[in-house]
Parts: sequence; C-alpha cells; structure tokens
Amino acid sequence: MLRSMMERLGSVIITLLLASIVSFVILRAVPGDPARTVVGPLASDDAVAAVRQQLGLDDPLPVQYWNYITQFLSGDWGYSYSNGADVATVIAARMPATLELAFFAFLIAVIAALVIATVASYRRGVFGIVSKLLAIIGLGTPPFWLGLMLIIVFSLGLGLLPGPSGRLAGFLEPPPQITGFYTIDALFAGDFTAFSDALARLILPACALAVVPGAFLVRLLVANQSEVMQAPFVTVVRAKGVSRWITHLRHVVHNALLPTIGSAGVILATLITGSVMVETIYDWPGIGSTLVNGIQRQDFAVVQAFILLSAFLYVLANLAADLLLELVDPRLRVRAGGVRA
Amino acid sequence: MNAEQLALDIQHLKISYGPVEVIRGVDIQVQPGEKIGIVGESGSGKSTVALGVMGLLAEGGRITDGSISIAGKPVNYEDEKRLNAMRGKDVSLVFQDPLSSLDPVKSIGNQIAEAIRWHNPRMSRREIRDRAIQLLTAVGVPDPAGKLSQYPHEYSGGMRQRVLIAIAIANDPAVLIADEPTTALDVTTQAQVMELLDSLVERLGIAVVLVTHDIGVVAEFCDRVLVMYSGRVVEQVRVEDIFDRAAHPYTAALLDSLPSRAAEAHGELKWIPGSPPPMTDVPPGCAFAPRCHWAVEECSVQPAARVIDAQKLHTAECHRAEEVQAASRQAGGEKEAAHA
Ligand SMILES: Nc1ncnc2c1ncn2[C@@H]1O[C@H](COP(=O)(O)OP(=O)(O)OP(=O)(O)O)[C@@H](O)[C@H]1O
Ligand code: SF4
Ligand SMILES: [Mg+2]
Repeated sequence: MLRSMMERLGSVIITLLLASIVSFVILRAVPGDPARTVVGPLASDDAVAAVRQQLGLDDPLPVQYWNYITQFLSGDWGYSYSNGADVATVIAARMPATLELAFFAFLIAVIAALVIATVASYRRGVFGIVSKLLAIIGLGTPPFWLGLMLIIVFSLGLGLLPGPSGRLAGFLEPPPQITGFYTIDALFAGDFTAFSDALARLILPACALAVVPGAFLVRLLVANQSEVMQAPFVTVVRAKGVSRWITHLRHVVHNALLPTIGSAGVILATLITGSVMVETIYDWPGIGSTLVNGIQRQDFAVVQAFILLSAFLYVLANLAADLLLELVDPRLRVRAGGVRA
Repeated sequence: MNAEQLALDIQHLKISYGPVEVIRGVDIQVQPGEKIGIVGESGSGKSTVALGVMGLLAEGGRITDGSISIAGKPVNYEDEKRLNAMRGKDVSLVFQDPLSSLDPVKSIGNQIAEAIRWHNPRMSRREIRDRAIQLLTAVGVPDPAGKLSQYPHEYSGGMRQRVLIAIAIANDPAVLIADEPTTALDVTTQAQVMELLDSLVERLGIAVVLVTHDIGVVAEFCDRVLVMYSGRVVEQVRVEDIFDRAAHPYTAALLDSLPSRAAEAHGELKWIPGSPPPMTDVPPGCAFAPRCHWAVEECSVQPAARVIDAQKLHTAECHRAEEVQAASRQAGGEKEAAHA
C-alpha cells in the first residue's frame, strides 16, 4: 500500500517536471521578444536590452528554468509582461469561472453519454447506428464552431437563452463568494434572479464544451457495454429470470462504467482545451480566455502557468481516478484488515 | 401435477443461426428426476439446445420449428414475460466457466439473492438472506454467512461452481441444465462438484440435462445418454447399455476414442478420423456417412430412424443399427473390463 503510494507520487512528480521542462523550452523557442512587449514598440534597443537583463532573459536556459521553477513553487508565478498583473492573482480570480463552466459541462457530458450509450446498446439496431454517428460527429466538431451555432440558434434565432456576454447580466451583482460558482453561491444567498441568470448563461457554453467529452464517453460506453453483453454472466443472470432491461441496467452498465473511470484524465484534457475556445466565444471570464490573450501578447508567465496548472490537474485527475477505482471496483478494493479468511 | 408428466419434452426442435440450421429436428424427453447426458463432438449443437430451451440463444439464433414443454407447460418463446417467470423457476442453467459466469462486481450474496427475489417478490430481505445462507450451506460452502459479502474473485473455482449450483437450485426447478459444468475445474474438484450435484438433484427430485464431452462422467452420473451429431440426436440409450449395446457407429466410435487403460499406458489415443460436415453443407441422408466405415449406398440418400428397444427408449439413426449393435456386444465385454 505504502509502496504503491510512493510509486504513484514519484510518477506524479516526474510527469509534472517533464511538463514544465517541455513547455518552458518550447515557449522560449518561439520567435519574438517578450522584452519588446514590455517596453513597447517605440522604445530604444538599449531599453529593450536593459529589460532583457532585468527579466533574466539573457541567462542560460537552465538557469532561467531553475529560477522560474523555484519561484513558481514558492507561489510567485511571475507577472504579465503586457499589463504587469500578478499571474497567480489573475489565475486565482479567474479560476472559479472556468471551474463552474467545466463542472457543468462535465455533468452534462456524463449524464447525456450514459443515457445515449445505454439506450443505444440496449436497443442496438437503429439506435446503435445513430449513437455511433453522433459520437463521430461530436468528436469531430470543433467546440468554437458548435459554440457559434448554439448562439445563432438558441440566442439570436429563438431568443431562448442569453447571448455570449459572460457569467452574469451587467446589472446584476455577483453573489457573495463561497464556492466561486455563481449558481451555487446565488442559491446560498437566496438570490434567485442571479441564480436563474447565471444558469441561463451557463447552458450554451456548457453544452458546447460538453460535446467532445460527451461523444468520447458515448463511444467508450457503447464499446464497453457491447463487450460486457457478450459475457457469460449476463446469460446466467437472464437464466435467473431477470428481464433483459434490468439485467442491462444492473449488470451491464455497472461493469461498463468501471473502466470508464480510468479515462478521467482524457476527459479533463478535452475540457481544458475546449474551455479555451468556448470561453473566448462566450466572453467567459475564465482561465481559457486569459490564455488566448497571453499567447497573443507573448506572456510567458501566463502561458507557462496555464500549462503547468493543466498538467497538475491532469495528474490529479488520474490519481483521483485510480483512488476512486480502488473504492468502487471490488477486484481492486483492499479490504480493511487484509484478506478475510 | 400428473406424476407421468415429463419434466422436459422437446419435440422436433429446429434452431437456426441466421440462415444456417444447426439443430435439425431434435426430440428429447426427460422424466421428472431423471438425469440425461448429452454428448457429441464440438459443434454438434449441445449448447444450442441448452440455450434454446432457456430461450437465451445468442443474437441471430431462433427456434424455427418444434415445441418445448417444461414441467408439462408448453413454452411460448415469443412471450418474454412468461419466459422470465419460467427461467430460474421451472428450468435453470449452470454454465461451464464458473469465473465468467458470475458478475465480477457484485457480491455473491447479491447474486444469489437476485435469483431468489425475482421469483419471490414478497420475501423480506431477512428471509432472502436466510435462504441464501441455507443454499450456500446446501452446496457445501464453508462459513456461508461470512461469505455472502465476498466477491467472485475471492472464491476458488470449485466454490464458484458451487455458488452457481446454489443459484440454479434456488427455486426448486423441474429441470436443471448444466452445460459442461466441470470442464474448467481440476479433476479432484470435478469429482466433488459432480458428487454434490448428484446428491442435490437426487434429494430435490430435479431432472438434469448434463451437456459434456466426458462419457466417463455420463456413465457415472446419468441414467440415459443422448448422442448428438451435426444437430441431431443419433442415438439415445440407457447408460448401462452404452458399452455393449451401442447401435450407432458414431456412438461406437466415441467409445472407441475413450482412453482405455492399456491405451493410456502406451500414450495412444484413438480419434475419429475426419471431421463433422459444416452446418452450411450437411449431406442428405446420414450426416455421419462420410466418416462411417459401415456406410452403404442408401446411407447418403435418406436417414433411418430405428427403435432398438422401445421399452428402454433405445433409438438409433442408422441403417445398419442391428449389425452395429451386434458388433458392440462382441467388443463390449472387453471394453467394460477395461473401464471397470
Ligand atoms: N452465436 C452463434 N452464432 C452463429 N452460429 C453459432 C453460434 N453459436 C453456435 N453456433 C453454431 O452452431 C453449431 C452448434 O454449436 P454449439 O455451440 O451448440 O455446439 P456444442 O455442441 O455446444 O459445441 P462445444 O462442445 O464446442 O460446446 C456450431 O456449428 C456453431 O458454429
Ligand atoms: S446410417 Fe449408414 S452412414 Fe450413417 S451411421 Fe449408419 S451405417 Fe453409417
Ligand atoms: Mg457447447
């Protein structure tokens, strides 16, 4: 037990180190001079050189990396070259918006995928084909295109939902922060106007963000379910007199769901990459849109922090998935007090 | 219930997978409490008959002709509701591989309870639990109360097969179908499980259809044996007659391929030369003709159904059944000696 924990911790650290090194090197290899961004296009070359010196950009890469990583670990994530803001502060302020969006997208993706995949594998035939098509289309649809289409149809066309303008209508006060989720905080505060507005503004971007992970999950769940359906124990359960539908829900879905937990990291990755585009389109004040600005302005510190944070979350998701699997899969569960006699 | 009523009555059953007919007219009658064995080479259709009776054929499989009655009640295989009420109650199934036959993520207690609850919706949790413990005790699982919360991977192969037997007898069915129940177990465990099954069905008066490759097991456990070849029952005979009254060349060949003591000592095994015809292309007449050294011309024209001994329900599908049987009688003495 202790040993597997140590091994896991080791692999987590190695993954994070590699991610930090690779992203650091790549960012420094792209053309352009961040010192120029800082001083502006009209400043003299001397001024640029002075800033380069000051930022440590002339130091050898390993030295730069070492300085960066030690500062990062001590909570100093640097500041934005373009506007001087402290990166850690910016990210902390924008994180809840992204988390709320991603959380709702995740919920939508999981619930929709479970329903679609279960019906598709239970009914097979036409449903199976439709679900396969949906999955292929969903996986191939760029979230920004889908985001735009949703706006055009549901906001501009039907006028059912608010347009792409952030988390809350301008005239509404954000609820006092408890969780950072506007919907939940508004409920805590008993502010139902804010709640319904926040929820209405979440629906379209969350759906746009949910499509790729949802389609991925549909494909995975359909494949898992059709494999489990071949297992002899399904015939044995049916031989007890249990109906096909109950057998499917109780045994097939349960068995098909377990291996799906292992792909938590991949799901998270689709949510992170998707959020960058979706946030930009919906003017969502989260980290994704910050990244787009950061890239445009060659803000090393912002981009680097985003990448490191993503890597950290990815590793965390995988770790959590492992632990969850050990909890819910009896074959992996470690019994308290060891193996029973 | 009429005492003369058959536990299982299969009349002229035909089953196809897609366009291919793999069960080509099978009749099986099983008396209450009777134990019959079905033997035959791989692909002869043993499992298909078993699953057909359960109404659990794989996708693409369907019954195209014939009728099946269980415990005197004709089964309508279109009526899923009635089928669900019948499965596990009138007829139950024990499968070959005890590990893959249990859901790996549900506890043993849960899986036994499922078999009970479904047919006894009024039973309380407590009663179901007690019944599950009672069943586990009956199949010889030690510490049954403690083992209810365990999962299949925590059981040994033999214990898992005992659990499957417990599930199969949970509702005192009229018929228990066991498809190679011991093939996946080691020899010692095999014998123990067969012994257990034997004593249980004896006590509960359950009729058994035992599908197996092992004529030795049949000889020990069954009352009657049915030999299947290419989707037909080519001979049925009482077990005590199988060695010296076999009337079908295929039965005789199967017996010949049994490892006798002398052959085992020399490490030689006889196989039936050739292989069964593909089910897409079964010859007219006797399907065994291409491999049969008794074959005569009319064999490949039309099949022959012979009643060898009506009293003993001995039938054989062979034009030369009488001659074959005469030869068996001669050879039988030696063989019985070899297997005694
Ligand atoms: N799911 C299926 N789809 C199509 N054909 C099948 C299917 N299952 C069995 N068959 C065919 O039906 C015939 C009978 O197969 P079955 O499994 O009943 O034989 P068996 O006597 O049980 O063989 P074994 O001793 O190997 O278990 C074979 O020709 C086989 O190829
Ligand atoms: S009918 Fe003819 S071919 Fe078939 S088993 Fe009898 S003798 Fe052989
Ligand atoms: Mg079989």
